[in-house]
Amino acid sequence: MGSGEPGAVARRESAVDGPMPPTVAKTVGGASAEQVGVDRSSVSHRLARPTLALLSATAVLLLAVLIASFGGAADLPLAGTAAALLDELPFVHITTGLTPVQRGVLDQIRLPRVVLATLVGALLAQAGAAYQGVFRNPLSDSGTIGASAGAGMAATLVIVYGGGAEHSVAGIGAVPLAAFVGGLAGVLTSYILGTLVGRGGTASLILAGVAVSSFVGSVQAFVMQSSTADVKQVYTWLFGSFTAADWGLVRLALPYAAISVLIVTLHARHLDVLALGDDEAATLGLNPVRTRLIVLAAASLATATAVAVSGIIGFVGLVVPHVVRRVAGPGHRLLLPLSLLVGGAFLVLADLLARTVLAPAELPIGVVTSFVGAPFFILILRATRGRDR
Amino acid sequence: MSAVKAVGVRVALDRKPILHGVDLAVAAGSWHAVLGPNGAGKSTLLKAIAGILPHDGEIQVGGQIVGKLSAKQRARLIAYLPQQPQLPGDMTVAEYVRLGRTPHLGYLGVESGTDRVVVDSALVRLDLTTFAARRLGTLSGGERQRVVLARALAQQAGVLLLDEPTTALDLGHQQHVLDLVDELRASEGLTVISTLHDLSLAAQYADGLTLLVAGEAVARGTAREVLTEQRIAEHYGARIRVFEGEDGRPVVHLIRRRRNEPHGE
Repeated sequence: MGSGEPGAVARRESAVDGPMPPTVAKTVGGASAEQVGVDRSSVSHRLARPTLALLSATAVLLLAVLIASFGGAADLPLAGTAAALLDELPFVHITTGLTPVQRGVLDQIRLPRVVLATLVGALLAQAGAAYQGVFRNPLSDSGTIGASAGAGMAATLVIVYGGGAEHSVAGIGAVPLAAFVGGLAGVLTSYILGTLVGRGGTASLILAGVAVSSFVGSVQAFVMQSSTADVKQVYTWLFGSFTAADWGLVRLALPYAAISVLIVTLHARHLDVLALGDDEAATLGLNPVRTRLIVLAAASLATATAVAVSGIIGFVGLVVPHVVRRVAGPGHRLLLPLSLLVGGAFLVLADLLARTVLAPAELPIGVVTSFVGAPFFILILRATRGRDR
Repeated sequence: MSAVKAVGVRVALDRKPILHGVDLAVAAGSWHAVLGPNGAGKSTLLKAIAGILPHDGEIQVGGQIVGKLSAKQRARLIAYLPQQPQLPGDMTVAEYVRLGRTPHLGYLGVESGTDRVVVDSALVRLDLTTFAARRLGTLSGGERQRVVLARALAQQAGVLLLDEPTTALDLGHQQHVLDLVDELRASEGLTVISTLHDLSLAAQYADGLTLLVAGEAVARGTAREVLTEQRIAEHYGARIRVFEGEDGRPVVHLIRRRRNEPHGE
């Protein structure tokens, strides 16, 4: 320790921007308490912004949920919707003023759809952040590294040829299980191909992922079209949709979502260490290969869950973590939870657009997210130009 | 007493043998330089000591066999700084230095008050307190080296392995970084093992030297013992002269080739 000489303290204070908490200012000048006070000041400085960021993101998500709950084909009154949302909470009972029909629309149509969109957006965004951390590559995302395509393909095969969703293996639904295995296989194929063609650098991983995704996507389109002869349904899958949302799908997704979110979030610090490269991570006491596999599996479970309930929705996992990183920095302990919240809000609003822009017809939600996401993707490519090796 | 001891260390990369049985003994609190021409296996030896390359033979650090330690146990004993450390450009100095605490944290990575104190004191020690919120991408070469050293210091390992710590630094910054390492060695009681391509710098700073050639230690001892004209000329294939510098430590000087030397000009 710098033995608490005043010079060091003064320097440290000047490092903390913003006003000092009065308690800390008072302790400066004391002996051992001074050191503690100063340390606390730097810690509180670290905590203030993260807490603020988390609270703001939560507020944004709640606002998005409220807007998406009352906006749509059937008009619901804003005040009544807000009251009804609160009424849905356990132990809260409020008179909403909604007619039984309005309440029915909200409870059985709007709300499950909003909740499912929140869940899927959160999963895709966090999975994107996790993939980017694991591969140390800003362009990694379930859409660009083959995870979504692999999950979609496997789920489609089970639905079309395997007799569908009623099958289960050890209590786990066949569709989510297939989606998980397919998602993982998609990522690993892209990764191996990327390593084979170009030493696994940024560009080669993405190129391989895009190649795998397009290939698998075309096979999937073929399979679906030859079995349903319904082009609209194929598009619904390939561009994602929440038209089929109900509480059943929410219940289906929830356990897998919880597991993957828990595992990914618990490895936040591991991902920070991985950012230093494998050698340094290993000399800091981490097993880089094992960490990668664990996070990769969890992120692929998240992707698979999202794909299983809503089809393939691109760009959420790319756009959201990058926006969050701009605001909150690259530390995963903040990035991962913020991506959950912002991702949820983003997809809820995107879905609102998808079902209102051409109402009563619906746009596939992937059309909306890609409309925002594709230009953004170009901007990222531009900003990271030159870093690619 | 040796803080680091290696006996018959063999390493193969992609089945190609790189080290053919290297011995090393480094006294606690001393600075040992590993020298040698390109491709001699210097970095490989450091990585083997750091425990991140599988090896035959035995490496002991602080009396414990490196190959038998868990990654975390190893990381508490040995800090390793590669030739080109990865500094994520968006990460702040404070966040980066905090990663040095990783081997002392549980699986969930929750930091205690002690961890924060250690990180803050590492920042103070390397005069980085005003830099704490700076992004790594905005730092100069000399600042980067200080930040990397602060991270190693936060790791609180007794042995510090440095792979070419002066690469890409100008003269003044080379001296600054090496002086800094020397100060830390003395004040924190660190044992330092570094590779250095500059033989004169190695002679200045290191207490002991090992000359590695094609995966074998061909000479070890003090700078005066190891850095002889004949030996350097033979193993580096260079025309050099060795002069006596400060404190009688050798200075290695390159001699330019003269055209038609026998006949004069």
